[in-house]
Amino acid sequence: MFVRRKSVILFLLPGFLLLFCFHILPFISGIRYSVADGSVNMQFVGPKNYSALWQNEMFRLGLKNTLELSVLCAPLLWFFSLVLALGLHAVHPKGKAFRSFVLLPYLAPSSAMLLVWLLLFDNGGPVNRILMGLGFQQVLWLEGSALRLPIVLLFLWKNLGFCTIVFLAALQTVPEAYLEYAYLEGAGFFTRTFRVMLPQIIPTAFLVFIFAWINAFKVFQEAYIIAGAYPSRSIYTLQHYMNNQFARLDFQMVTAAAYSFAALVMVFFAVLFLMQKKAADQGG
Amino acid sequence: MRKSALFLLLFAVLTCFFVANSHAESYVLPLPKDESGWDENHQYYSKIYNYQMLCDGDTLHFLLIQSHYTVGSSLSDQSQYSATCYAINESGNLAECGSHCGDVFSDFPPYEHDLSIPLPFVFIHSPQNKTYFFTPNGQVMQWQPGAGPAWAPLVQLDFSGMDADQTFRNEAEHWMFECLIDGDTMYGAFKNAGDGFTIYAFNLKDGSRREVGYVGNVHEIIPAQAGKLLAICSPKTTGGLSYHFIDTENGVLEEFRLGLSTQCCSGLVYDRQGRWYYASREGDIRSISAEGEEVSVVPFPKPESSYGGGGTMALSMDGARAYLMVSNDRTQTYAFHVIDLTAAQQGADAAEVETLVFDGISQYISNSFDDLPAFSGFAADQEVTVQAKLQKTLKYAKAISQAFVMKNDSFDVLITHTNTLDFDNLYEKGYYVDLSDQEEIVAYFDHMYPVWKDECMRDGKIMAFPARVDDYTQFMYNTELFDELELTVPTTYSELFAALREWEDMGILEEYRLFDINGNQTRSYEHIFFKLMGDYICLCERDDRTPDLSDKEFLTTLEELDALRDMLDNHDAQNLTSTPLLIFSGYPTGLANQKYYESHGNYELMPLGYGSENREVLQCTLAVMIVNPYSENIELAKDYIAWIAQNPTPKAQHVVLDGKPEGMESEYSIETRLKWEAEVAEAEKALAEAEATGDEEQILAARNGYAAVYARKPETEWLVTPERSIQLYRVLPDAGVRSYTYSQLMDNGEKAISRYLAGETGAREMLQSLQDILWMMEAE
Repeated sequence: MFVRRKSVILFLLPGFLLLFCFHILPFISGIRYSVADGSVNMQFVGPKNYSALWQNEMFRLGLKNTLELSVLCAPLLWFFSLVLALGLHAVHPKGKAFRSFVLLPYLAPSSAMLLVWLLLFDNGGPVNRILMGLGFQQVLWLEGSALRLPIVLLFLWKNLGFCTIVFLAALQTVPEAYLEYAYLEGAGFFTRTFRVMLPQIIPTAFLVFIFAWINAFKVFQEAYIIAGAYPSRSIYTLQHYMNNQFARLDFQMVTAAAYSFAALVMVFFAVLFLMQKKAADQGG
Repeated sequence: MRKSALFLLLFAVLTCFFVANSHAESYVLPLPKDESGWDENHQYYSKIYNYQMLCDGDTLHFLLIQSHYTVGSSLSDQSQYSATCYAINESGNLAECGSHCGDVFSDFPPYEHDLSIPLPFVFIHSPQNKTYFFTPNGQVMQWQPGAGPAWAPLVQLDFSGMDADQTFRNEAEHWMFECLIDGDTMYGAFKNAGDGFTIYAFNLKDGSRREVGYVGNVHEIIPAQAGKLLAICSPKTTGGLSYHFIDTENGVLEEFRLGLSTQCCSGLVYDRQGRWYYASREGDIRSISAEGEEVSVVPFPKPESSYGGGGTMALSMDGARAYLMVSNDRTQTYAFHVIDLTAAQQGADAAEVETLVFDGISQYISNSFDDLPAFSGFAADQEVTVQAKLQKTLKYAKAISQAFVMKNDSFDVLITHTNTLDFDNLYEKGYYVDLSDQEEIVAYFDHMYPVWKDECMRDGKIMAFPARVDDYTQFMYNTELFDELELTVPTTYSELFAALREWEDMGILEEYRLFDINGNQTRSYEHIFFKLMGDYICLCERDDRTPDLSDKEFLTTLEELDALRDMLDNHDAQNLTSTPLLIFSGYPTGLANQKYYESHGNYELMPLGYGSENREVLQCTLAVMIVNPYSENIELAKDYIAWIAQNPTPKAQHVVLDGKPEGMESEYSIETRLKWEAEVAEAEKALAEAEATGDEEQILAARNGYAAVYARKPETEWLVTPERSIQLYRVLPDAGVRSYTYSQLMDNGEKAISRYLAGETGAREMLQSLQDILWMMEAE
């Protein structure tokens, strides 16, 4: 038993060391910057940076936009991937090829795909041409608040495949016998889906939801490539703020923003976890 | 089954890896070390002048040209150039294939203008597949395929009485910008005394000359058809290239433009079947017919340069294969491509491109700090190593932030531009070392141009030392033309715009070119816009107020400019040959500014200020040196900068002669320079007299005397000439510096600005976007 435990520790050690060096250590050491004045001497200033941060209009704007985009993107991603997974599951096994196909956008590099996206939503691009063909007015998709739509669509398009595959894998673990029993009992498609299948995949659904939220928080990449360091106010995210502060040597604000956001995210996920646990307890 | 699948997967991955790497090998070129500079006794100076590269089949030739100068020699006997040719084959092996010591050119030794004169050699390719090279004193030599240069001159060209500008001091020397040898005739384009180029034809048998014709800005000359040449000019306002068919008997016949090519091309090759090939900076070899039909033949990895227009290229072809040398200025490497052209022409999906990447030759590639080797003179004084690390990324601000946050101590002195960093923030955070305890630096600052001084100092502390000045867009006007035509010099933008309309109505613009940027055609509308915007923001920054782009006066001015858009651009595109009435000079053309001052003494800065108060601003940026506060050698780094301050290094000079404020005395002035030149002449005379006596002791003493005088040389010519500083000072008594805000706004508002310049949105919409960015920057 002792030898087995030792070997487990040995196997875990390299991974843990890497995790410690490249994640845990920087995370902890960064705290120092967030409570120092940012000068060469790094004078301790306590919560001053945090207080200045929360008073900063652009930080609040970035946080608000990040949360808004997350609230918009994550549930949509969760919902559409579930629907797609259910559809693919229903056409099983003929949907095998399509299953691989939906994963492609996830594998493609964002920067390359963004160029295609830019062309699609360009002022004279296909989307605007279709709109004009239907008698509507052109929309400047890549400017102002209209830019939110292409960004949300791009986010969905890119992440949908992966979430669908995760859902699909979970759906395939639901025992056929349950479904057959329900069918024999006269349950229709919707009853089988929502009363039989979904309760069985709640842990996976939670996982996908978390994954969708985490990715939604990182929607900055797309916004940055499309609109640069200072985009329209409607898509100025928290990472824009951090990125710009870093470029102007305000490390203390960068770290203060990062820890504030990390704290918020932790609280949010803790609440989600408790909700999931409660739902699972009630179900079980 | 599973094992087989894994095996297949592994095999596929390995195959992909080998295929991807089979045609790309990297070599470090074993070229000789650049040992430019003075010997320890200041008796001998040598400098790698420059290099030329030539694709000769599958061999790449480097011709390194070096100048040598022995102190005490007169210009005509002991100063000379040497050229050494190196051949590099496809395995990356290097062999020396000949060297040559050449005659003296008047610009050796390189104590004047050595940074601005062109190379003393140029390669010429003939349609008969022969290669020649040419020297400024009119010698033509032949390249022996596979063997290198034959140094004995083939012929001496007749340069007497040519209508050419005087690049060199000696009238018998001229620079040929583009040339072609076809059979026994050599066609050369020489910049004429006006603004265009004159093409001359020389007989290679006896060197005699006749005039062929005039063209605008020659980019390349190639044979078109029997009795005709094709002169290709640089891109103009409309984009694309213009072509001049030149009848070799009667001069210019016809001009037509090709709108498809968007960038300068390089290495034009004629296939003698009616098509030309060139390497486009877009990253493909293109073919053009005489009718202007242009097709892309084969792509190659796109070159990159720090100016965004692609690196330099050389192309040669032998029918079946194309040999292409492409420089990548960002990675500072050269790639030598061998391309299967036949496959490409037959429509193969992907023509084979073999690539050799040559790395490690950055010492031969010019960068933005050409003067760094000169700074290494510190090593001789202090016995320390000065090593320049060039930052390859253009994201200076982030790279520097990263260095400071990591307390990076691997560098001692940082060289950066003032407009890429928020200097106030840098000062607040203490990311600098105060240099005000160094007497030499303080003394240097005492003589410094006030604007630059303000940029480098905060609260009496010297946080940065200026290494170089880049002047931004400025207007200069032709004083002679203004006098002749009795024109009034505008002093505000509104006056300028009104004057432009008036000049057009008066017919002046039909006769004279309106704008010129450092000798090239340009988009004048854009340049006025950038100057207007920059001036306004600089003015705001100087007055410590946030720019308000919705300011009625500013908006009105911009709309006035909008109204002139068509007139400005059309005029600029059409008028090619007349003397420019106004010139824009600007970044990255500090050197070009200097050349303009030298060749066009009749241009003066226009006292054009923004706004009704008629206050002027100077847009410029400084490249400065900052001592890294985390360095382990802070004292040594400070000594180094102090050494630069007190020695005649080619740093930014701040000379004022006329109209200088009280206390701004400088040892660098025209008088100092003239005095030094007189001393040099005297020392030269003493040396000649000593040499005439034949007494070795006297000769040695005279040589030492000469060396001592030469070592006191006041370096005033680099970037900011005495004349230039005087000009700036005369007309800009209340100047402000190009601001960090302006730089950030331009970078971040790039999209809004480009849409506005392309005419997709109006001034108001663009200003709204920019104002939004300004607001965000302020709020952050």
